[in-house]
Amino acid sequence: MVEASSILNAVIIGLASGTIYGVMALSFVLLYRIARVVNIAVGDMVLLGAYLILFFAELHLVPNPVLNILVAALLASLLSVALALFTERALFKPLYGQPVLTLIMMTVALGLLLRGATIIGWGTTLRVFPNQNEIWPLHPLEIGPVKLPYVYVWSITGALLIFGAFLYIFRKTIFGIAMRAVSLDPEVAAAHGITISKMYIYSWIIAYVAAVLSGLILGAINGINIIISDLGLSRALPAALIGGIDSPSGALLGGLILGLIEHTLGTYLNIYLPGIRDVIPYLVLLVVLIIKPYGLFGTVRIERV
Amino acid sequence: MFISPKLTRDAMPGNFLILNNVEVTFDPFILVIKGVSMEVEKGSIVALLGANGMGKSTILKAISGVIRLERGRVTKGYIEFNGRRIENMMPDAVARLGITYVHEGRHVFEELTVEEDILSGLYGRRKMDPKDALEFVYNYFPRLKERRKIRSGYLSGGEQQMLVIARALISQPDVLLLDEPSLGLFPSVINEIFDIVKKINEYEGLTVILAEQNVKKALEIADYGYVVEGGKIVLDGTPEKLMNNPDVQDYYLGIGRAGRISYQDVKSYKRRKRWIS
Repeated sequence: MVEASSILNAVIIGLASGTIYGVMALSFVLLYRIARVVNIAVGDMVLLGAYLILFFAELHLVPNPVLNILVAALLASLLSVALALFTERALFKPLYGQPVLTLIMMTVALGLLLRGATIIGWGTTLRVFPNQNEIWPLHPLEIGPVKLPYVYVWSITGALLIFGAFLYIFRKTIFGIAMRAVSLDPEVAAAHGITISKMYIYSWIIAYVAAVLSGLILGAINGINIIISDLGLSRALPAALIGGIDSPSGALLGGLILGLIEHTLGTYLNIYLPGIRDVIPYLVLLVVLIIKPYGLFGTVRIERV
Repeated sequence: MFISPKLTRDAMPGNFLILNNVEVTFDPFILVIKGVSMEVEKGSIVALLGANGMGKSTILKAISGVIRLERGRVTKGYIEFNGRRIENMMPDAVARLGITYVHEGRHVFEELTVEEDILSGLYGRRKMDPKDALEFVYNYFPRLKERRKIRSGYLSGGEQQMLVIARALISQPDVLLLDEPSLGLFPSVINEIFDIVKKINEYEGLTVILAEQNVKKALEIADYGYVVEGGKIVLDGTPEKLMNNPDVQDYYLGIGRAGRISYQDVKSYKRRKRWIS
């Protein structure tokens, strides 16, 4: 018999880990929505992010370990802006106008490139962030019956900040409106003074920063290793699809649903069917797509006759 | 009652948009515009008239740079705006100079609300506070104000046409390139839209270049007209002159000689190679 408090605990932890899936899915969704790039490299971007943060954290720029990791995350984000510029200008700009498949193949290449770079730079042994136990104490945060590891507190806070800022910009500012306009009709948007290629660069930058910051949380939970790459892709993709592939708020919802089911049903069934936990995301995806083919929040195109 | 920031700017008389012997080639050998020259005065409405596929839209797209997105280029001649060469510039750069092209066929951003759709025209070309800018266009299009929270994909055809004009207007461009605003609309709606365009032209001093098949309506509001055939300008003049031209009457207005006319009696400018020089 499972205790009520442990179910509650599983639910909370599921939702907490769902936030990080949501951020990764946001990275995927935004690129698809704006630049029509199906980004298979999202997991590798997360992987690179984790290693970049590790790299900057090991420099020990600030004595305080918590501040140190925050500074490292900031520096890694700044570096990822440069990477985003490189990716868009050098790899994808020549390909716009080509069939979707070409772009997908390029993201596969990008993924291998990033993964190769991390292997060359850091090898394949499992690493952890320096002073990890001081940043995220082993003893979990206890709120009533719920025991929440500190890394999830970070994950929730970070995801709320990222989604809050992003959704505000995307929904309320003229910049966000212009971004959505480009996603709907680039040619018309261009005639109204919106530079399409710049919008693509911005979406790459946001995608990179979101992925890199997810690397911090995934790296803290699983340790930093090549495995993060597959983990990232296998969670970001179904979360994005569940939410409707082009909806940022859907990405968060998709991530939450995924995390919840993985940590409740998945963990429970895993005792009887080892490995089912990694399949569950795709089963959820299947069910959602059968019921709502556009995903939960996906854009149903208006067709006036 | 109409707020008019334009009036405070210096009026610059004379021709400020000039096309000189412009040729447009598409990907890479299809010659579509075969040497078009036009002079547009500031604050006037100029009509480009002609049947489908004659190159009216392409002329507008050449001015706005939109041909660059369709693998087209100006391969000969030049386009000058305010003393600056603008041929083959990218459309976003041209738009920032103050020339806005409104696509044919009411291209609204379906998923955006009406208000967001209008505001998207303001990106990168913000001259005043978005709220004031919205009020400024709602003055001309009160119907859009009523519907500002509705997704623009759900508007009627006429409202969508108003929306795309409003979106172009909000950045207060110097030149508005309107491509077939009457396409597929009910006559009274067409009248309404043409009236608004005329009003904007009068109050804001906005220069309008209008590509139209509805020759009669276009000439009613235009100050000058060009007849485009086969990628060339075959006739130009004031609206009165064009209206009284027997060929225009026969060909476009259908008010010439009474009764049925054989095709062979109709003079086609295509067959009269008078422009070869």
